[in-house]
Amino acid sequence: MPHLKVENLSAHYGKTQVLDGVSMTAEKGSIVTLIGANGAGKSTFMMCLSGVMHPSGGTIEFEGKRLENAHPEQIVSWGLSQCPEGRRVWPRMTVLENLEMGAISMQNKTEVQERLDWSFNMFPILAERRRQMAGSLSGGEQQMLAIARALMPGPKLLMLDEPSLGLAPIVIEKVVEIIKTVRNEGTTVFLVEQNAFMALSLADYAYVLETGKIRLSGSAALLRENDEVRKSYLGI
Amino acid sequence: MWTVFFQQTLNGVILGCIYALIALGLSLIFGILEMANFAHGEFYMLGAFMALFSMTLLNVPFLVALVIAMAGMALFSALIEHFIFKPIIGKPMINSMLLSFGLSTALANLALYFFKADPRKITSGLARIRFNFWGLFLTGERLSILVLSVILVLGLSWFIRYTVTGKSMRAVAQDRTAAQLAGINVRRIYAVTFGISGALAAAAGTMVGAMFFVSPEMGFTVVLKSFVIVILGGFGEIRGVILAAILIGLVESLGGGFISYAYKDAYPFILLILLFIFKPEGLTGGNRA
Repeated sequence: MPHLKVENLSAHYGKTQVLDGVSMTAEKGSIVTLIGANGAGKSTFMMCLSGVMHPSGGTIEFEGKRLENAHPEQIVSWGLSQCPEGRRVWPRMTVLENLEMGAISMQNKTEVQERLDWSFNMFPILAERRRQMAGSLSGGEQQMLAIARALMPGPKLLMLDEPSLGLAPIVIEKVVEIIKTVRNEGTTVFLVEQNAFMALSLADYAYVLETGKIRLSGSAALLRENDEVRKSYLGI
Repeated sequence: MWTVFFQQTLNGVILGCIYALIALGLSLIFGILEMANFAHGEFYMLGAFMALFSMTLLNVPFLVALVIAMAGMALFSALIEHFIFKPIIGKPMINSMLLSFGLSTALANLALYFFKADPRKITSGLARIRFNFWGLFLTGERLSILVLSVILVLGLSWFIRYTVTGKSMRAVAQDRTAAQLAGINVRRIYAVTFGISGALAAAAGTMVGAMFFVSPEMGFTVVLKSFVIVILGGFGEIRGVILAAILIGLVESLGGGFISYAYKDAYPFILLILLFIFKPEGLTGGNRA
């Protein structure tokens, strides 16, 4: 049974249909990517998975639990965590407060401390800046904080929405490294990217979303060789 | 002359502390739910009646009545949030303005129907204690009001700064979607915010009812002044709101003492107009978003 299984998902903003019958699966411990242009519906898809937006049709199943009508905080406590597009750290809270709030779904205080130590070990720059306001960090540091915050509850499935957007190549390398580490620790990673080159070199399996529909899917290695993908998304 | 000045200043600070309690609740709701709650003045009025009836019907002392009113209004406000405001959360501001204005009128008129229009007074029993220092005069009642409001304001600041719920409130105010994604139960935070806001309004209403009167229309001008305070102090800025509240208290009290008492309700609004003309970025500086 797949870890995450989405079937025939549709979503609307008012009367505008943004997602039209999207189906996908993710196996446990794999990296799955969803690529597509601006406005294809990638972020909407992510918000449906996190319960922030309710789909107008279809089903989402995560480890046997149905998500399409669940509340966001339930979904987080079931082990599905999202790092949203544009970082969205809380600017007038400290780095430490941002991380503590990321762990709000955890009951056990010692576990929270363990996760905090894990984060600071993984992101030494955040340990250094723990008393600083998140809004005063650089873009790259804010992205690290946003990822660290999403990892605080120790999710079984981590969703990353455009983690490479607007970052310097050296910071992107760091993001790639984190994604690999997290996967090696057994977490499934679901990556949404415009940077198709990065996404396809990292992922095991890939989906291409175009105007709300899955246009192509297959192993990432296969899609990398696909003419259409090369022309539209890789520019080669 | 100077004695009058200092006496009015002291009265102004006490008034300002009460305004701070009311305006902080309004500012919390504005920052966290992005709503303008014009019914906030009625929460203050109902809180005052709750304290009054606790004292006259249950015969409890002033401080116990204050606690009953705060707890009662916390519950009442959270219920109002759940049953009345919930459907319009996240909708444009005009929805909450119209809805809360209607609620305000309904609550004020229900109070008028059931409690009648005659002003009544909460007798705290502390008014007979009198302090005299340097020619200034302060009753035990006003002193306890001053102390109580300072405790409540400090308590609120501490709560928002250090508790998990307080931090969650700040997170929701700064980025609601990020808060949802982190697993904060946003609906619970909304109810808690309304509850705190209602409790603070009830405390203020009870104290004003002891200093002046309790009547069904007492919330009307107070809510407008509180909006002035929130605008002056900056939305979501606790310190700014406290300073603005004390400023408005002083302006009202000194203006009432030295210019004309009849126009005391006009001074805060004159100040607001002047501020819009000369310092449109607000008292505590520019936009920090």
